[in-house]
Amino acid sequence: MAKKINSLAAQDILKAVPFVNDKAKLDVRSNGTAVASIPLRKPGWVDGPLGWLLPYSSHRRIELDRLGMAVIGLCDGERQVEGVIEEFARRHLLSWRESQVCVMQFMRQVVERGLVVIVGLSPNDTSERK
Amino acid sequence: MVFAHTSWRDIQLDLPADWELFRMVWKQDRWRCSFTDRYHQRVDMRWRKLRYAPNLGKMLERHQEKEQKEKTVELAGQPEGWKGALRKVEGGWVVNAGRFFEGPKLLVEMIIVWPGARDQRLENSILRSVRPLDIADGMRCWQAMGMKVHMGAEYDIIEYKVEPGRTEWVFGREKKRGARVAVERIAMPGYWLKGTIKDWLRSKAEGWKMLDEWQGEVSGHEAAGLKAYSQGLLVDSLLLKKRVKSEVAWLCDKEQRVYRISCTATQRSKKDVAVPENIEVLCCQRPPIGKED
Repeated sequence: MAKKINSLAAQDILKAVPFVNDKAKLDVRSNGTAVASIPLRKPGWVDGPLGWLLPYSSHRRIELDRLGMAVIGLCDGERQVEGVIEEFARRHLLSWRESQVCVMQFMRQVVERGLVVIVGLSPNDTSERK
Repeated sequence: MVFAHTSWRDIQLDLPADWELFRMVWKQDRWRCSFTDRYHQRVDMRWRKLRYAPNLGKMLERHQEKEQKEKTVELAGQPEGWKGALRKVEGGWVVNAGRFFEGPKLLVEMIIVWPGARDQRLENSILRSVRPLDIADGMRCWQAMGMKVHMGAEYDIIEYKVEPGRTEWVFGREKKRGARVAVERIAMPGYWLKGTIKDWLRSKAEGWKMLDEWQGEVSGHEAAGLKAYSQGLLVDSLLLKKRVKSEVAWLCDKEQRVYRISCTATQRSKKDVAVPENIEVLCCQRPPIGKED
């Protein structure tokens, strides 16, 4: 059976707002880099005998460099992805496209690891964001 | 509106500055460049050399048949030499236009996408700006993605890489004769460049035996260069050949970009690298901005 995939248009992604996971803990170092610790959901087997044998980490840790921290700093819960790209371009003297490639590649990685959530309108929703 | 000039192998054109080149594809003599704005792909340009002038009217007829005649209308009011069709699509318009340039025998096909309303004035200005590249002086200009390179016309692009903050074009001559020339432009040096340009260039030559190093000036910027060689592949060693490279790098303060030109050749002599003399990389261009003025 063919599945219908709701693909997001570039505009939908750019108009979405990135939020940093508020459960994540950022340990910022003096050189501007940081380690982000994101709590993981505890799977059921951890409490059983398997949990005594297999190591289980309660947090996922992500190493962030200075540029990554700069992007995380721009995710203030109000600025849209487009605004993050614009500001990153302005600060680092990049063209829109250069900045977009940098920011989107980073965003993809931190979203997959649960550090950032991108909230936007559904592709079918035509109402304006308030 | 601010326009940016793009020049790619045989063709040049001017597009709004925020329509950026994002894809170049080529196969034998067929070339294709695609440009995008923030939200949509806006221009797709294809070109190829032909031995004889094509019948553009016939080509247009065939295109209209393919796209269902009732949905397309013939383009009107376009600059001289262009023929094309206009098609209404969901949420906008698509223009297909073609022109044959008699001199270089070049057929250019353009697809221009108009999300929402169509701006015919801009469309015509884009079409008017499309023209063949003049290589009468034996030089070819490659200008896109913030880079501008003048290169001997005997050199052709063989590879390009676009990574976050880094663009690289690699040029070579037919049948892999002579040196392979890579031109690289790297952004955000304030972030990754820890020492001097000389130190950085040396770090890129790890595993190579140094023949010569120098410091000087390129376009008024402090520059560093080196010559080095390595044993290369086993087959090269058997043929008593070595890989030799000659590099130069500089930091353009105005653009905040590091430029590096690297010429690599596999040859018997390790002393003289066959560096092409007719190469010019231009920097100090207007720094890009996040949003158009």
